[in-house]
This record gives sequence, structure tokens and C-alpha cells, in this order.
Amino acid sequence: MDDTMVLELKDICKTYPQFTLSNIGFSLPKGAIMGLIGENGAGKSTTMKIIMGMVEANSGSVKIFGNEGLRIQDKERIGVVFDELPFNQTLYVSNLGKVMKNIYRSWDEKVYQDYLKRFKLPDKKELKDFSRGMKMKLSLAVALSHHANLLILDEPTSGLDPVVRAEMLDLFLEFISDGESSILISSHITSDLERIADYITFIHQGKIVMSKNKDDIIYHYAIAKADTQTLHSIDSPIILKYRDNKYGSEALIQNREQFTIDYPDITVDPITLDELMVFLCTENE
Amino acid sequence: MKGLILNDIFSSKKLMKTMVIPFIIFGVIWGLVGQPGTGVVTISVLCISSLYNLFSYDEFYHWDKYTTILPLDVKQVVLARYCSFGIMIFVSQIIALIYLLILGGLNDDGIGSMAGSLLIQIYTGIVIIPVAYKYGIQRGRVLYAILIGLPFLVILGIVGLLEKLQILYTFPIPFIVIAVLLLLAISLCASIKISTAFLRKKEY
Repeated sequence: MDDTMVLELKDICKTYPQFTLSNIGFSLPKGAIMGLIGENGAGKSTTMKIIMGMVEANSGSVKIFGNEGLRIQDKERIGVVFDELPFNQTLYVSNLGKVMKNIYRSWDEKVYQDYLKRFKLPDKKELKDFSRGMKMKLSLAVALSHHANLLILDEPTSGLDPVVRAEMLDLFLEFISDGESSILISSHITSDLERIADYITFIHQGKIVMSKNKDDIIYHYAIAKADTQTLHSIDSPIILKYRDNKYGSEALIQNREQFTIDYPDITVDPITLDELMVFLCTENE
Repeated sequence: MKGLILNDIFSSKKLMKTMVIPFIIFGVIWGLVGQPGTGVVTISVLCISSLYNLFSYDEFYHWDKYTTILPLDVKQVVLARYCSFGIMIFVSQIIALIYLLILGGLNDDGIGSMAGSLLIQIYTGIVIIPVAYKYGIQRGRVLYAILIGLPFLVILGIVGLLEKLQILYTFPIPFIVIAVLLLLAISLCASIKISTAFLRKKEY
């Protein structure tokens, strides 16, 4: 067992009538944030559900805190935020505190109250009257009030304004600052992940296309731009994919340094996670 | 488990508030026309609808999905729902008792209505909970109607037959009470086991 890993997935497979998740595997170290990216229906949520025990995998293994499968005592150490508030929204925040206090042994009412104050969440409103930002903050307050070591966040920042998003991202960085806690986060807002993630796992059509250190991706991958004839004439394993348009061609390259040495006349632009995702999701043109 | 029961109580409190006015209106009407027993049945129907609403809330707000990540065993989740319904039944019976006391209807008929409605409540819970865990509250509608309606028709048929054969009243009352209680206890245990098995297999 590798005790530096909080989460380890190995060869996870799950088959549905119209979708298959194949051989999903990655590891999340302590003190790190891993971003799960991929198009809609790629398998991100299914992967998260398998980790949380909501869906049973057909094969493969999930290790959490070094233990096979998700044990009840491990759930005490996991905080989860879904893209929607999962609580009865006729309740008040104080009701929710009382409920959670009687569910989590490690529930810390003081921490919960501090977050309520910090997020300015009122107790006089029913949860259904909260804005989307307030609902997400409440979900996060609950997830953080029982001393979790692992946060699993499914699209936590979608639909939020940039100010609230920035506030939440700061909180995620604060959460992992002890070096012991980790976050697995899925998001379509790749700019958020560029800001906070240490690792990126890219899932496409139920398979892992890439699971790497984010800085390595940003540093090594790039987009080469030239006219179609020049770019297509290059025969190099550094080029992963081409994309042609009426103004010329673009190529996804995986070793920027080497490419710029080999082809100094070709323009090479840095790549964003968004661009990488679009490149890898589209078929060769 | 206590947390889940609390969650159910907080959810029901809101529902109860919305039910107070219709109940007062109907309660007064039944009292005025001299049928307090019908008022008691109304209370038990409202109680059953609260259980139905709890499952609706769970599905609508995805609380059912959230319970899977809570540090609780599936059995605790299931037992909490049965306990919540037990509390609801208890509260509804107290309300029914007060209602009968106010109307001066605490006679044989009134007590009979309370006992009858109690049996209906327990039986309905036994049926609704596993079906709701298996199919969800919306998809299970037809099945509830069959599982609740059919046994009542069968019981009515048996009672009618026993009456026709003039042997219905030969059974001593304690024997009937014990038989019914035993049957309910066995059904309740089976219901809890089935609900737990259904919920354990459920995927979200």
C-alpha cells in the first residue's frame, strides 16, 4: 500500500446498455487537487459515483485512504459536494446542522457556524430561497464541518458568478494547505482547474486519455500553427493530432521544447486545458 | 440514524403545517354530521400521505443519493425511515384521541375507528416503504394501489364469507387481536429486510 495516496483507482470498468467505462485508473496523492475533465457523458460522474459507492463497478478496485472499497468509517473523512443542493430545501441551516450533528461523529458545530458566518448564510430563510451561490456554499460548509481529508466535488462551480467561484477556489486551496487533505474535482470550467489543480485526468468516451501533472501538461503540450502543407509534411511522433481550417492547420504537440528545436520556423503557442480538451475530443480532420 | 429521523421530522413539520387547515375544516364537518370516526380516518390518511411526501422530498432533492455518502449503514437508513413513520403514526393517534375527546366520540365506535386506522397505517407503511425503495415513489404508484387495495378486498371477502357461514363471531376477540398483531409483526420484519435488500442494490 502506498500511504502517500488518498485515492487509488485501478482498472475500473462499468458497462451500461449505451455506455461503457473502461479501465479507469489514477491515483490522488495527499495534499493535492486532481481535476477530472471531459465532455458531457464522458464518464466523470460515473467514476465519481463508483468512488462514492453509489454505483458498483463491474471490475477493478478502488482504494480510499489505503483501504479497499469505501468503509463506513472512511465516509466520516470524506466531504462531498454535488452540483445541486441535496438537502430538503424546506429546511433551515440550523435544522441541517442538527441533522448532520447526529450523523457525523466528527461533526464540529463551531466550524459549521464559522462557515455560515463567513459565507453569510442566514438562518431565517428556507434553503429553497437561497441563491445558487449560497446553496453551493452551504454544501461546502457541510462538507468541511466534519474534518474531512478528502473532498469529492462534482461540478461545484458551475453556474456561479466569478466572484463566488474565486471565493470557493481559495477555500479549496486553503483546504489542502495542511498537506494531508486532497480534492477530486470535476469541472467544465477548465480555467478553474488551471488555477488550482495539481493533476489533470482527462476522460473521453469512458476511457482515460491522459492523467498527468498539470504543470507538465501546460509546459510540454502546445499548439503548432502553420499552413496545411507545411504542418502535414512533418513526420514526427511529437505531433499527436491535426486540425485543419480554411486559414491553415494546427497540430497538438506533446514535446514543445524538442519541437521548437526541430522546427524553429513554426509558430508554437501555449495550450489551455480547454484547447487540449477540444483537440483530444475531436476526430482527426 | 437519529440524524435521519430528525431530518424526516423537520421535513414533516412543514408538511403538517400545510395540513392543519384542511384537517380542521374536515374535522369540524365530520364532527357536525356526527361521524367523528371519519375524522379519525382522515387523520390516518394525512399521516400516510406524509410518508409518501417524505419519499417524494428525498427523490426531488436527491437526499436519497446523498444518504449513500453518509457514514451510515444501509440498514440504519432503512430503519430510520420506519422509525420516522412510527413516530408519525404515534402523533396521528394522539391527535385522533384528542379529536375524539373534544367531540365526545371516545366510545366503542371511536376506539374501533382508531384501531382500524392504526392497522391501515401500519399495513400501508409495510407496503409503501419497500416499493418506494425499489421503484421510487412515482413509478411505484400502480403497485401501491394493487398491494394496498388487493389485500383489503381479500380480507373483506373472507370476512363476508365467514359472516355468511355464521362462524365470524365464533372466534374469540383476543385470538383475532393476537393473530393480527403477529401477522403485522412478521410482515414488518419482512418489509424491513426487503427494503434493506432493495436499497443495498440501488444505484444512483
